[in-house]
Amino acid sequence: MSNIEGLFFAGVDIGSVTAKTVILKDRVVVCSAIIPTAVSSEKSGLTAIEKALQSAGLSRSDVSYIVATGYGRIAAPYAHKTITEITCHAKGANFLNPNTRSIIDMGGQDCKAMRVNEEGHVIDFVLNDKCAAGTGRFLEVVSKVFELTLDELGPLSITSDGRVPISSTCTVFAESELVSLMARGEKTENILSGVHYAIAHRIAGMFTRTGVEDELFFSGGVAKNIGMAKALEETVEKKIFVPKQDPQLVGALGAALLAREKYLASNG
Amino acid sequence: MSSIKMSFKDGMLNYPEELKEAFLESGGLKLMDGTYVSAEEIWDFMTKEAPRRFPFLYTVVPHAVFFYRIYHYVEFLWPIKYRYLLLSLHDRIVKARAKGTPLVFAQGGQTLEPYYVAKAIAIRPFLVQLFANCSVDGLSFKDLSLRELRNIEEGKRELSPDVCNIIGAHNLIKRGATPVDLVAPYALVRCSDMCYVVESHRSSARNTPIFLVDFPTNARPDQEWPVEYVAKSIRGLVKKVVEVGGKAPSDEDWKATIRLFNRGRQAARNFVWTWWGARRIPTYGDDLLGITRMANDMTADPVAVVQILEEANKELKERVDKNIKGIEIAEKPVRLFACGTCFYPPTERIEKAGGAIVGYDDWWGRILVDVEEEGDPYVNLAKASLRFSYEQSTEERAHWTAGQAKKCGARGMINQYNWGCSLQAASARMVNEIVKKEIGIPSLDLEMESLGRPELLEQYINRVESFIEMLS
Repeated sequence: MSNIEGLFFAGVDIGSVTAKTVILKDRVVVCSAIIPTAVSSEKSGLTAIEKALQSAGLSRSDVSYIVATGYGRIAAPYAHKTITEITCHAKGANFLNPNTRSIIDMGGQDCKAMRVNEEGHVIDFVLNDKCAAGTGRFLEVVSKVFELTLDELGPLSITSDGRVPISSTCTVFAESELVSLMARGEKTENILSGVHYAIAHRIAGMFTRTGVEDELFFSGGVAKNIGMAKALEETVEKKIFVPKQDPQLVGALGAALLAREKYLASNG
Repeated sequence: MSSIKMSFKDGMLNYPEELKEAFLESGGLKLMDGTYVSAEEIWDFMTKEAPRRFPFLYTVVPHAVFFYRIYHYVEFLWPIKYRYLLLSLHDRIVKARAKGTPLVFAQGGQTLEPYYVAKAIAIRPFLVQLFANCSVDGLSFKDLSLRELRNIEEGKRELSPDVCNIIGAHNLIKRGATPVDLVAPYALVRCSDMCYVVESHRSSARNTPIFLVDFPTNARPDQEWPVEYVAKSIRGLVKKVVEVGGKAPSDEDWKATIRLFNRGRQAARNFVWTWWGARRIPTYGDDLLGITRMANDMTADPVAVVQILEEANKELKERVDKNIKGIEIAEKPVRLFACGTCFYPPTERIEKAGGAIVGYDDWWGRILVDVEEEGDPYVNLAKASLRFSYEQSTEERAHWTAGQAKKCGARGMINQYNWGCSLQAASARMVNEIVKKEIGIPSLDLEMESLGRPELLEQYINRVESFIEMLS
């Protein structure tokens, strides 16, 4: 292992909403960055890398190997390798919690349910089918309806004293439902609780296809929502683990770890 | 023949001159109307006329999804003849119709003997669309995609946004873009959405005659009544084809047609089994799909198709004997079985990701069943149709699928179907679970949006690449 000591490895996760980067050295996170994804995925990935490197006083020439992941990985010519976010998330989750056996990653536009083994290797997965229900986008729509910020949704939802059932099938229909519920005087926190549980039911449905085991790792931007973590825990009936590190960075972290592995494999 | 790189100029692929001699030696094609097209004519068409008329096929477009797109390498000579049949389909059909041959729409899982024996040309949805696409010269890939999308949207507007994407083909028929003389599919369980799609024709201003070949669900070929029922339906079908301009078949016509189709099926089976038995995967996946496709839809000329299928076997055997691998296939790819209908995986991207499609269930089930050549042809066709894997219960179909996936050495299965395909959406999970239980391989469920849209490719390939990574 001595030939990679002190070397820097980068993982960049270019999603539909944000581009994330993690820079590793000796399996320790040196720096990271999260930026909104612009029209050009290529530029977004590069900007995220540059931002992270600058924060640590580094430049791109210091990085020995880059792995790109996320939907934008096809526009990452600067990457040495591209790997899907499923594999990267599994790697990152396993690194942060080696007891992880199931992962739910809720991003801006998609949602992934995975089962992994003790080495962080994926053994089954399912993605949501081209639909906003069960993703961060659904919560964005909800926040606009209630004129709240995304950060306010979770804490408000857990103060509910009487959850209102909401459709879990379609974001557009659910939005209409919210407006109707508000009009008939239902409390905001009760409606929000219903929204969170509707999403959780959707996720639970995904896990009926892959199976779910302890421990269940929750990653992605939506993992910062305490209302969502609570709803998931109760619906899936598993203890949820949300990493102390930014849960949005799990994919990029996994990519950086894989960058290190790939470099080692190709350089003996 | 080892793999030869296509020439590339001005963004377009073309067959390289170094290939010409070998191709000319392979000979031309005899067509079902008795004419002969020489290898020289085919070569000139494929290298000069077709690139000018159909640039969408020759242009390098990384996100193209349609399977008959020209590949970067030539690994066999027979696909050149197959693509010739595809690209000349429009002209051949126009010529045949001018001589009085009716064009009949067929769909779903039936065999096409009843149509051809009555001297009609039968085309399925893919060929309906191909005819329309090739009726306009000079279409770019983008033009083609936009036309196809517009066509599907038009069809959905008239019927329902939930309808199967095959509505695109029906819309072309209704608009007269593909001049079908009779709409006569089998109403099969496999394609349960067919009935209401066919109903859409009843409201059409074109008044194209319709004949639905009714087909019983949950019937078995060893039961008497379904055989009689289907045989009676097929009799009615042939009679209807004759009414719209076909020719009443004699006993000899029946024997000759069934024998020809059986020959085609046998040749296709031999090809696939040889491919499966190869020590290294001998070609890229579209060639495997092309064989099963040809043996099913006959590309509007069963005589030419059977010749190509038999030539394909000779070429494959040589390649397998010499242990030649498909040039862009990994040394140890993740072998995947493709289950489901009406969507064909982008094999080139899958192969770039380290996978390889080694088998398809769609149409393969029909190729495994020959029609008896002696006796009542209607009864024989009925018995054969009732034995197709897709016409069995979902559970039986799943057991059959597991068997085929095991035979081709698959390590995973992709179960794919179109948005709007109720049957496949309902049965996919049961099939996946039975396959997993029986042979222990995982499945990936993929429900695809509108056909031909480049953007769907990334949704698809993201999942498939993850699946390949998981299995590798």
